[in-house]
Amino acid sequence: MGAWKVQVQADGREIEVRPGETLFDALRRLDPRLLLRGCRNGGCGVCKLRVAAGEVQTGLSSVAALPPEERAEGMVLACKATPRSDVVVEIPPRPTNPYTPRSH
Amino acid sequence: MGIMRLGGVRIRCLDLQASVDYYTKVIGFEVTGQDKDGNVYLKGWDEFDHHSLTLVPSNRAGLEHISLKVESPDDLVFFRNKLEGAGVKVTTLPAGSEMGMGEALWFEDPGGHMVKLYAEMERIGTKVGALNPNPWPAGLQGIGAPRLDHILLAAEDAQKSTDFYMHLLGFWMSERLITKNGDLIAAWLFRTNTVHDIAIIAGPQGKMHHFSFLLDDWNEIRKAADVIAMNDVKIDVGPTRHGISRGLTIYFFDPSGNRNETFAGGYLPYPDSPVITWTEDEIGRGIFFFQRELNDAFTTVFT
Repeated sequence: MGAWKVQVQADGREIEVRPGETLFDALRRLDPRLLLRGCRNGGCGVCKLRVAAGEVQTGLSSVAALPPEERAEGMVLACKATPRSDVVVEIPPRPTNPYTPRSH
Repeated sequence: MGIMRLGGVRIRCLDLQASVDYYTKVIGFEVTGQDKDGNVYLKGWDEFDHHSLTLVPSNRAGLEHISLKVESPDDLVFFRNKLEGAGVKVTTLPAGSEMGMGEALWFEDPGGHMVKLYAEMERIGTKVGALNPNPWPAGLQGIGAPRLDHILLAAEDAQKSTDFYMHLLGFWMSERLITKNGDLIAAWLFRTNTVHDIAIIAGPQGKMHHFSFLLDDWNEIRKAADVIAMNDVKIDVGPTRHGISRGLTIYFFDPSGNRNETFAGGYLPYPDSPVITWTEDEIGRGIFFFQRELNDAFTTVFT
């Protein structure tokens, strides 16, 4: 079985996924700027993205971070999604805290 | 008279058993009970009340409420009058709303967090006892945290929440972080002699940034980091030092993604201590004194 690939829809960059690796870990290896490094346990939701093509297996996550209506639109938390085929992802703009100034 | 301390936090968990395992084997708290709804109560070895941490099974992460312990039942009357006088809706909860807890007041702060005030809780005693005790007990697990220390709450209007805790609940301010226009970004508030019992940061309404466990010193923070790493717990930042509070710290995430901290050091503030001010241009040094740069996730990740 060849390794599955995850591809970033916006620019076509792709990386081979290691066995059992989450979308989060694979995408951070491709480019750490792609996703904020949040809780990685399905609670905070900063690694949310849309699976545009392909299959993933998802784990437990907070409905506050990933509401059912977003899940129905193909959104997943990358830290809780493991590819089960080649996958294309659409990554939304990085979340920010609008209430505090940026550090740099 | 008044609030004595942050008595407890009640935390939502996606997988209750995973959280119980984590808070006992990694943090080193002990389970003191489970109620009929399945909520699990825990405390640190140096805490004497029934519990300071409650784990609630839920489909979401985050904080359910904080509990503040007041000195006497008279304080509940005093705070009910004071809060209602300021237009805050206050509900009285009968004894037993949590295991071992007496009658409590229940209300919402301006940041959208639910708050309980209570005067009485069943006493279990510390693990070392109160008669000729050893400095620490044998058989601690993991980090072996002695007690809960503080919580950092998010609020869209940090100033409004800070005013609420200071003017209505009697907290004092040790430090604050302000924008170049003088607007409040974050405030460190206390009722004990520690740098903070509650801190407020500008952020999404009703969300929690982290809650923290007390440790003795830098060696213990280093040991905590070892324990965290050995258990594959997701580390956020550290070990490092805060400029603000002078605290020694490591941040990491519980199995539901709630941010935890172990905190040591700091200094002793008094009600009349001058408030220490940090300005926005020094935010990196204020939050992470060594790195001098705030990572974006630190002020963006909440549960």
